[in-house]
This record gives sequence, C-alpha cells and structure tokens, in this order.
Amino acid sequence: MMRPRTTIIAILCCGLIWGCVTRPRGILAERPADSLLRGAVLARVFIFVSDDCPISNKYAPEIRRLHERYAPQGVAFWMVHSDPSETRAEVADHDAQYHLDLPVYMDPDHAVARLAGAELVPTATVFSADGQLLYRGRIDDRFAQIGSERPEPTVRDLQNALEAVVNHRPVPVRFTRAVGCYIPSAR
Amino acid sequence: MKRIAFGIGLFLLFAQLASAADSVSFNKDIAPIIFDHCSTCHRPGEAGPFPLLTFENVKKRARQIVEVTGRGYMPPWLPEGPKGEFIGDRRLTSGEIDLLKRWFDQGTSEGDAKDLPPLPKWPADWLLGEPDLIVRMPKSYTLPAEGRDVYRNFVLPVTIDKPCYVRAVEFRPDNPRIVHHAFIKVDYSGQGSILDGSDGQTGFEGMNLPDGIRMPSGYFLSYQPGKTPSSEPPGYGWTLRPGQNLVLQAHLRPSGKQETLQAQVGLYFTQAPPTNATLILSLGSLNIDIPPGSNQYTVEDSFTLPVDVDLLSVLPHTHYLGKRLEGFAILPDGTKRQLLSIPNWDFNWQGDYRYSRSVHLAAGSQLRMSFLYDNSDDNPRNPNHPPKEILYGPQSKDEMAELWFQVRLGNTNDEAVLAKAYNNKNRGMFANYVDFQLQRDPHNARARSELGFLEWTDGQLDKAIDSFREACTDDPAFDQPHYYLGVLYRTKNRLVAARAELEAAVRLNPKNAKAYGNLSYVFIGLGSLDRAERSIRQALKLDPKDPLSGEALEEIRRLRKSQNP
Repeated sequence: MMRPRTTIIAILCCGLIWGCVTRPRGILAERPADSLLRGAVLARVFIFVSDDCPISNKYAPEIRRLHERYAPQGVAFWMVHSDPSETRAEVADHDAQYHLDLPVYMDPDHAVARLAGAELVPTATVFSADGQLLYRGRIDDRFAQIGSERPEPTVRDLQNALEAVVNHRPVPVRFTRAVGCYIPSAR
Repeated sequence: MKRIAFGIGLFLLFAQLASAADSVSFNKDIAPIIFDHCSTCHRPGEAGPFPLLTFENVKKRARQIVEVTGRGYMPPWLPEGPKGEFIGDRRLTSGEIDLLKRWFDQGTSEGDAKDLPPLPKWPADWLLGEPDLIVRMPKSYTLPAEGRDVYRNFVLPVTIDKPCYVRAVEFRPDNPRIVHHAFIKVDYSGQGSILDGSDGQTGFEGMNLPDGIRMPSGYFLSYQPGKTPSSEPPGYGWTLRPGQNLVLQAHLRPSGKQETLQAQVGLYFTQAPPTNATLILSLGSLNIDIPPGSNQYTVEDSFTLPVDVDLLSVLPHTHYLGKRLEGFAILPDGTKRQLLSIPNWDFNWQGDYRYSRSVHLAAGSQLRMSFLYDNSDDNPRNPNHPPKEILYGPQSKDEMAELWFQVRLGNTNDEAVLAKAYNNKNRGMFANYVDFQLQRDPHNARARSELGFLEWTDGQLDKAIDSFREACTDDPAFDQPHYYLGVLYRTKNRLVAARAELEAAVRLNPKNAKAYGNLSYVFIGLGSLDRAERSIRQALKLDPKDPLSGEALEEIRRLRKSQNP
C-alpha cells in the first residue's frame, strides 16, 4: 500500500515528464521540475476538467485567471483529464482553442481522481506542499446544479482557498459540492 | 422429495425468466429511448454538447443521463400535464426514466447486436426541406468567451420584389451550442437597419425592441434547440413585403472560448394569399413590484371571452424570477380547464407550445393566468445578490408577466366584438399601471403624461390638458407631454398653441418624427407652406416609412400647384 504522499509525488513526476515532453510552454518551461517537488512550491492545485463538459469549458477563463494570479506566487497548477477516451492530441487542441496554457496531466486510470476524491468535472483540489488536502470542491458557486446558473458567482471558493494559502492562513472552507459532468469510468 | 425438487426447479426456472425479463440492455431497451428523445440534438453539429449516438457514447454518460432525466432537466420540456397535449412533447415516461436507471444500476450492458434499432435518418440540412428563400446575417458576430448572457438582435436583409406569403420559417444557427433560444421578428419600421452596428459590432443589444420590430401579427416564431419547425395549414400564414427585413433576437451564452455566429433563416412560401387569420390575445400585468427576498409574489390577470375561440398555441414570458406559471380557463359552467402549467420555469428554455388539438373555448369562458415569482436568494437565477426590489420592465434585470394565446375565430364577424373587449381590457391594464406609477411617484412625468392621454381619449379634455401641463412641469426636458398637447390643440384647431407645443417637443427631442409631422400640418393650416415642407422633410428623414408624412408632402405639393397654377 503506497502512502498518499509517495503516490502524489509519483503522479507529479509522471505529469511533469509528459508536460515537459509535449508542452514546452508555460510554467514547466520556466521552472526547473525539481524545484516544484522540493518545497519551493507553496501548494499544488489539480483542477479536474474535460474537453466536452460545457460547465468545465465555461470555467476556462477563470482557470486561466487563477493560474496567472497564483502561479507567480508559488502555486503549481495542473489540469487533470480523467476521461479515458480523451487523447493528448485532442486535449492539446482543446486547450489551444480555450487559450489554456497550463500543465496537463492525463489520468485515464483515475489514479489522481481517486487520490483527490474527484467524481465530476470541474472539481478543484488544493494540496499543501507536503501533500495534505486543503480544499476540494467547486471553483465558485456559479452553478447551483446542471441547468441552473447564476449570472455571476457570489462566492469564489477556489480563489478564497488560494488567497488563504499564499497568505499562510488556514483555508476558510475545506469542502464544497462541485457541479458538473461525472467523470466516466476508468479504463 | 421428487415433488419438492420439481418445485424448486420450477421456481428457479421462473426466477431465471424473471431476471432475463428484468435485465436491461442498451441495444434492446436504451437505444430506442436515446435515439427518439436525445440524439436529435446530441449529434455532431447540433446543440447538444456531446453526441449520444452509440453504446460507447451513452455508456460514458450513463450516470449523468440517469441524474438529469431523473429530475426532468433532460430532455428539456417545461410544461407538466398530460403527455402529448402539445406538439413536440419530448418528455420521457416514468417507465423510460426507470429503465435508464435500472440499466445504469445493472452495469450498463450492451446486449445483443441484433436488438439494436437503426439510427433515425435526419435531414442533412434543413428539417423542412430546401427553403424558398434563405436569408442570413451579412456578417458574423463574435461572442466573448465569458461574461453575462447576451441578448443580441441581428438584421437579416430580405430581397423580394413582391409580397410573399410565409407558411413556415426554419432557423439554422451555424453555431447552435451558443444559441439558447431565439425569436424571429419582422422589421416593419426599418429601424433595425438604423440600430444595426451602432455599437461597433454587427447587430444591436437588448431584449427591448422598438414597436416596429415584432412577430408577424397572429403568429409566434420562436426557436429552442430541439424544436422542430412546423408549417401553417393551408389558408394560413403571414405576408412579408418588399423592404421588410427579418430581425433575429437571440439569447446567446458564453461558452468559455470566443465564439462566432452567422445564422441563417429559411423561409417557405405559399402561392395563395392567406384567407384565414389568427389573432394573439395576451394576459399580463405591468403592476409588478416584487419585494426583495419574497418567494410568494403572484401576478394574476383574466379576460372573459365575448365570442367562441379555438386556442392554437400558447407562449409564456417572464424573466429570471418566474417560478411557477399557470394558464387556465374557467368555462361557462364553472369548471376549470388547464391550458399551461410550468412548475419550474426556466428562462433559458422559453418558447411557444402548440396544442396537438386546438382547445375550443365558448363565449363566456374566462382566460386566466397566475404566475408565481421567487425573488429570494434561494433562486440561483436571481440576477441580484442580495435581492433587490424588482419592477416591471423589458430588460433582463426587470420582470415581466405575460401569457400569450394564438387563437382562431370560428366566425370572422366575431373579430370586431373580440377586438373591442380586448382593447378595453388592455386599456384598463395600462390605466392601472399609470395609477400604480403615480402612487409610487406623483412627479413621474411619463406616467402623468400617459394619464393625460387616457383622459384625452376618454373625452375629458380639460383634465387631460392639466395632466400634460403638470407633466411638463415635473420634467421640463420631456418632449412627450408637449407633443400630446400639440396634437390635442391641433385637433381643436388651436393652431398657434399647437405650433408652440410641437416646436417645444422637437426642440426637446429632435428625433420626434411624429411631432415634425404634426407641425407640418399645423403650418399647412397656418398657410406657411415653406415651413410645412421643411417640417415634413425632417419627419421623413427620421422615419422614411411613415405614410402620413408622405400624404402631407402630397398635400403641400397640391396646395402649391393650386396657389401657382
């Protein structure tokens, strides 16, 4: 039985290798990989997304904004694709269309999804540098349920969590309910 | 012992048979439901965000499908009530919903390939076949990646050289995933072309269109994803004349990336001019004042039919606070007949509903509506957080309460009787609104001016003049009371007073074409043809299609000829 911390480090390594090979842009190109793993990172954010869930797609600009705001403050971001039918080429094409220039992790066997406890997209999770889960849930409260949408969010949960992290304060709300599309079964 | 063994064997056999009957497979049980109810939209190029055409497609979404069908969100259909009451009813039966759930619970088996029905054949392009005329947006519109929903109107130029009788309209967005619903209207005024592009992008903003841009009299032209367009029966239809363009009013939803839209509308004509007319009757109220936090606010209205009618279709309209919408009739014998019941209104899926069989209502039946609103924070669609007091208004931040019926008369002679009663009802509704506004603010110049208009048309001229004067004092920059006074004086042949008021109106609002038109007639009366011509040219510049202005110009020419033969 692998300990969670070991698992997450292993997963991060995989993500980094793939990210380096296929996406020579963004945060990974600017930072040496081991600096992310060796504590220079304040926290790690995994956002579970998919190419064809309209709710997940609608969050692209918000994901981009949060990445632009918190990555320079030491927060590492990954977009995790856990739908086994998605290919890397499709994801790359999708991200180009949505102007998403973030590291991507392909998770067809749901290793990261299980670890993070994500069942649907989009789900945001925040881990501390030492692998503790700090936040899991929605990005914000824009969607009450599928088909029921606020004109604007009233609570930005992921942003609140990250604001707490960069200010070395406890995350105010640890769990919220994500709304979106179920992640299809693992391969 | 043998008998017991036989009994057990029989039991096992039955148990096996029962479980075979119970086991749900995609090919046998699920595919027919999905193909019939989902695949029309959930296929490439259509509005659904992902395809539902194959076992793999559906298996992947099984849990989602069970959830959204279980709570009735999909297939999208707002009215409750007997299945099939309306054409195009997409709802699943409770048996079908249960089957989907059992299939998921049992592990989504594919089943025997020979059970799989063929996919339906969808027309490659237009659902109604090749249109007689295709009109399209001349330029594509760019929708930003994010932000609030956009209500955008696009002018679709029409080039025809003679009147055409339209029996059907089909809307084809090239990017159906961003168009949540749309109405197709006719620009009877030419204003669309003036407004088009005024903010730098193609089209123009807003839910509130000028009066001259509306759906053709007697018809609803609405689009929602998945709605099949239909053709009017022989003898029915509406007339599109040369010079009239279509205006597409679209509700667009940002998707997360920048999107473009360049939609087309197909028109289907009939050779014979329409011989039968349909009419629109609307229930509603303008006296809307929803307290913040209230989830119990109700708007009601009624209209007693003076003649027999057949209801053909119904179109409800509210914005984001509407919750439960009811339309019904109290028949002459006192029984209640449900006409439309929407338990959980969703602005995004609005449209008209056409009765499968028209509903006959005898004279003396009372049409009624009752709309419930939720202006609390529990309503996620509430545009205000925290909630605010909400009044009547056409913009999405305001509220409306309307229930429109498309009706046919058994006897065309009844039209005048119906029109009289209906106009009275509307006048009463408008008078109530004016009272309501003046109670809230006695110095509301617009409401005071409208009160004057109501008094005038009621024959109370002195009261009307007082009201107009008061409105002028309440808002010295407001042209309307001066305009009304000018017209009133003109009809009383007090031309000097009329001239002063109309000149004030055009000074305050240089775009008031009607004031220029009236001013021209005043100058004709005063014998000043040069001034009359200048005024009428200004009126025509502002509103080239006003027939009265054209007549005035003719009159001026005739007078000039008779003066200088």
